[in-house]
Amino acid sequence: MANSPRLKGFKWNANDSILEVWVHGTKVAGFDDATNDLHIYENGLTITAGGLTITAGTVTLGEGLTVTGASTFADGVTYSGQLSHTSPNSSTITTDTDLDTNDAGKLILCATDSVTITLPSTAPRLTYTIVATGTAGSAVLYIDPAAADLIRGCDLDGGDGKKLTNTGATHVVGDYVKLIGDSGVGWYIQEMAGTWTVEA
Amino acid sequence: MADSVKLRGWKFDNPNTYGEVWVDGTHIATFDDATNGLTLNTNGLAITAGGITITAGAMTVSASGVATTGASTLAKVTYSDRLIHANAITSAMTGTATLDEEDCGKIMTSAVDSQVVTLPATVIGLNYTIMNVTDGLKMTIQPNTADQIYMPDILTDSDNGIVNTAATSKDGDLIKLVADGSVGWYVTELHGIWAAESG
Repeated sequence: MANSPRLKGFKWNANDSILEVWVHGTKVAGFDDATNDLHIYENGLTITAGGLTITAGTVTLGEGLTVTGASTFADGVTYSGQLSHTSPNSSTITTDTDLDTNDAGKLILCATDSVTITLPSTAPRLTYTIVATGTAGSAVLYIDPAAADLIRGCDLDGGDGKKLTNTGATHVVGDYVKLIGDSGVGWYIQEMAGTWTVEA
Repeated sequence: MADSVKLRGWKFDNPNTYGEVWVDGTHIATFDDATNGLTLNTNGLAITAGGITITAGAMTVSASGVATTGASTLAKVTYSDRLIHANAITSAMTGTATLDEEDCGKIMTSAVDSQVVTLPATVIGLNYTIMNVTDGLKMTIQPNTADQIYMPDILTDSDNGIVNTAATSKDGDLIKLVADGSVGWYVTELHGIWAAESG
């Protein structure tokens, strides 16, 4: 017999062993005998008082988490991808680009494959943050210092003029590097995430 | 009378004033008359459409944390312990460590008590991130003989280090330093309780 379009209440689904909750002919939730999970099938879960307390198991979200109140994380936060303010001062690069002193302090974002970002000659405390946001596993990003400058840090020690590369095969969206200029030799890495190499 | 092992559906627990949901003899959810809360007794919550909207009260996770596969937007975040990129370049120090140019950009971690981290002579742009990753361990950052460390409201004497004291140190206490190439080092970020070494 077909389900009544006006079915309201519990219904035992013998085929799937799920105790289903129906409202006006719509299956909105089910208690699964196999997993003991509560499934919400329609329109999500709205909690209007008391919040949500979870004392066992991880909360796993197939999409992101949007929180409008302040959040406190008691045991640290590990993130992949980008960590950024919603209103960063940023520039998106799509072609080979020379940076200048006015780019210091921005987030330099690059989603295009095989782009080369060329640094100016080093100057004390000149700082750049460059984020690779291209396709995971394929996009390549090059950072090219001036001919007389080198890039050092994170166990990398490039020679003068040698490029720093975020390699395509291992690229993860959000890989980034922060560089700071020194007194004339080149650049020190301040922060880095992802797999980067220096040109031989 | 004992509950049937095949009980499926709604059952009211009169002494506790619970509305209970049973599936094949397993009590898997409780609606509590006293608190008006919903408790899932045996497993989790799977939402296949619509997400979760909470209009009052926080979401508290006291077990294993939150994992997302999509992008998240958080209005304001305060964290204790560590904030770290999953693919950050880290290096564990296991004893007295003397840093060099190629340690710039890494997160230098220590889980060793009385860890001493010796900085090289100041050179413009040299920078280090050093993190204590265990509660209750002492860590000392030692500059070169002629160098000082400028930290919030404190200027060390030349050759004196700064200390993350064992009594108050926490996992995730951190110091970021950048060299000025002249006087010594500026602290650019500091988490935890640090003090200038005396003497």
